[in-house]
Amino acid sequence: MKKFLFSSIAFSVLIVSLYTLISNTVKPKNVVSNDYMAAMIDKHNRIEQLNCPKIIFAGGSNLAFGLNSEEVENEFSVPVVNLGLHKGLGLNFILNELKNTIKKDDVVFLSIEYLLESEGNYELKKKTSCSYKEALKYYTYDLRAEILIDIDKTNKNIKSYKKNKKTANNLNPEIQVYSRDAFNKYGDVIAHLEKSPPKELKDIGVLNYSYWTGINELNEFYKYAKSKNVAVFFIYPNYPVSEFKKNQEVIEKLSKDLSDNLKIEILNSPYDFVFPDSLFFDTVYHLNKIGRKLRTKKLIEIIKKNTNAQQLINSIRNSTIQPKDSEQTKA
Amino acid sequence: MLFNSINFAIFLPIVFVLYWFATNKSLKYQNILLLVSSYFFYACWDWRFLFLLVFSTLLDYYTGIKMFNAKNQNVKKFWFWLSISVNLGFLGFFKYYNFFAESFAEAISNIGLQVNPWTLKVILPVGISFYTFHGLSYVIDIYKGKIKAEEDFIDYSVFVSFFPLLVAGPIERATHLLPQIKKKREFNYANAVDGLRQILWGLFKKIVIADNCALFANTIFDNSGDYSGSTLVLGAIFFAFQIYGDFSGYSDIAIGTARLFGIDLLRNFAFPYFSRDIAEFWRRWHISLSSWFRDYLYIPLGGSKGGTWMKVRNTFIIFLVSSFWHGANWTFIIWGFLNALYIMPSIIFKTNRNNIDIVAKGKHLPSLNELFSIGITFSLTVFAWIFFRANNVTHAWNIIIKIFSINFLEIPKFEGIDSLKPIILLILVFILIEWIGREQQYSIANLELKFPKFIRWFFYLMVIGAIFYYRGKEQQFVYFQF
Repeated sequence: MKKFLFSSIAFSVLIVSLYTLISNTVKPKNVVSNDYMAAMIDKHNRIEQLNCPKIIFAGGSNLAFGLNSEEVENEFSVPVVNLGLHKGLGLNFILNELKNTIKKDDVVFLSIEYLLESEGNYELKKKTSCSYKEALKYYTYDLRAEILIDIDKTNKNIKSYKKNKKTANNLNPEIQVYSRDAFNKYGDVIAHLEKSPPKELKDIGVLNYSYWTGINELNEFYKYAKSKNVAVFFIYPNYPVSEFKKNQEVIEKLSKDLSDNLKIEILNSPYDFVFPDSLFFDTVYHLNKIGRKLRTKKLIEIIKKNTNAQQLINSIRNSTIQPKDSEQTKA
Repeated sequence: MLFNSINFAIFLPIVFVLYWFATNKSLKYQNILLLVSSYFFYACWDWRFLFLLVFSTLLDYYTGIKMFNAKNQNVKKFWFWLSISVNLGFLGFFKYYNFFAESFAEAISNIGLQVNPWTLKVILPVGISFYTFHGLSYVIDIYKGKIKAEEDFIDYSVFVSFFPLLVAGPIERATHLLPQIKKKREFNYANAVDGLRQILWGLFKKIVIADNCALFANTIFDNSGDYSGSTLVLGAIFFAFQIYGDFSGYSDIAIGTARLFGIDLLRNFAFPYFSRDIAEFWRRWHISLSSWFRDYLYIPLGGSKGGTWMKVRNTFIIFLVSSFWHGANWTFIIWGFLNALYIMPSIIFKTNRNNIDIVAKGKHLPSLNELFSIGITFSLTVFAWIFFRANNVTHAWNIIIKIFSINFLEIPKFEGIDSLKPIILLILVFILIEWIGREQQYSIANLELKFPKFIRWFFYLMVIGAIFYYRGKEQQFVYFQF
């Protein structure tokens, strides 16, 4: 038995040592992250610098690609931060991020992609937290997933090491849209605005209806936000007309469930942000320059029409200094 | 808890250490530990179905004792049929209810009547087909007077629920496993090392071969309408390797794990793709199920004693039941029927036992004739796998029509073909290792005898490296759905 245990332990130690050695040898060194997910650092930096009540947009990339926050800020004269980044992070992550971010008198507009799942992609969450350490608080640590991700990462590093490409940076122009540099100071992606879109939209498909458990999570968040004196509103995401037609029945059922069960006030209907396919960039949630402009304009109108939202924004404006002044202070 | 998961990698050493260090003084404690671990292992999937497992165990344990003690044949029969009907009743309900309800509604609609089938969202309890068959073999053996009823409930429960075999076999027999559970187990170094080696090889088969082949097979089968006949053939071949790597890999891990605890399980695979005819294939594929059907169905039906036509009838029955065991789907039934057809000539011409030994025993290479026979048998098997893998009969039929069309001559092309080269190379290396080790229990079993330690360790490191580097996208074990 002793011999068996000794051999097993010795062999295990050998494997772990070899793995660690290989993993460290092939690891790219001193690579400054320009990853898309690293944009979270800048978004939170802005929130910290503002240090006053503000408008926060939160959700997935429908916001990152489909909103001109500067225009919203100018329209309402209230600082705006667009936290929208990636739906792959999952609803739970997005709401936890908000819980750790919101402060008294903030106004939050949630624009969540249809039937967004709660858990999201662990690898994406991990990647985000590698750039922005605070993000570790937004999801639960999973040892199993961590090990698998580490193995995958080492595998990728071995492959790129073999090709003598030690940095993760890629010079493909399309990738630049998905980089930290692609964002402006408000948290909007702008790098795609002058680029020609790919031939086909990604993420197309049929939505399967089942009661969206995200409603319960949103209600819980609403309760939390209320206790912090933060107002929350729900807005539907943008969607291309071809996909909307395909999924209309499911979206209408979802919309009914939301109307019946969501405690957060809903500002619009799913139809408001259904745009021609030609106004989308590369996925069903990513608008191009014209689409973004149109959505922002419509969104401003929708917010203006809602007395509650308008009043809350007005009270922020009246109680704080103008955003331009705050920018000057920051500078 | 999957065998290829981190959770299992933590669970197994803990149970192993407790088994040999904390409970090694008493067989009773060792068996209690095995039972608790097995129930924990099972509950990791769905704790609710643990009640079903415990109920099934209690039922067979109780009816076993009642049958064994019955002085009157009618009383014995009563308990026997009670156990058989409840066991098959549960299996039938969980596995076949929706199939029959939907098939009935379809049949009725064909004569112009519309019926809404009353289907239920029945979840299949993992391993039910396997542990039910354990229980059945035990009850049948007592009824036939082959074994005594087990009086120790813990020992009997370990026989049914022993975690390495609980969810996907091998399907054990009371005559083989129960005596081992009742006997004091001593730690055996060579046995334990061999167990670890078999686990490693099983992981390689599952993670490298099966999971990578699954990726290609799934892409091709799921988009079969877009691909040429030649690509579809390639998809079927990938599925053949997927299912072999998956299920025989699982069996290797199960057998290897059991050996760590001093228990030998039945062999489940014996290099089936090197078979020279279909009869040989079925003696080498899922051996524990084939032999179960042979002993508890084929022989009671008369086996081969009643002449050729009885053999033909019984063979068709066996394949029908076997295909139905795999699942309630017409695709499985056609798969079984095809295999029955394949085997018929050898039954009629009494050549089904021509190839008992492994091919080219004691030689390095097969003869041309043997190679040709292996090729034909493999092709027939792959053809039948199309039905096994297809979503429904129409899907399978459309694939077959395409395969036998002119575009069979096109060069295979599908999404992800660029990553094909290393996988093909791995499959070839895998076939080579399997060929070299084909006379062993599993292909790398004789490594200990042939090579010094440093070469063995180097080989293990290479296999582990391949598992890390060529790890395919994690897939559920195929046989968990049965």
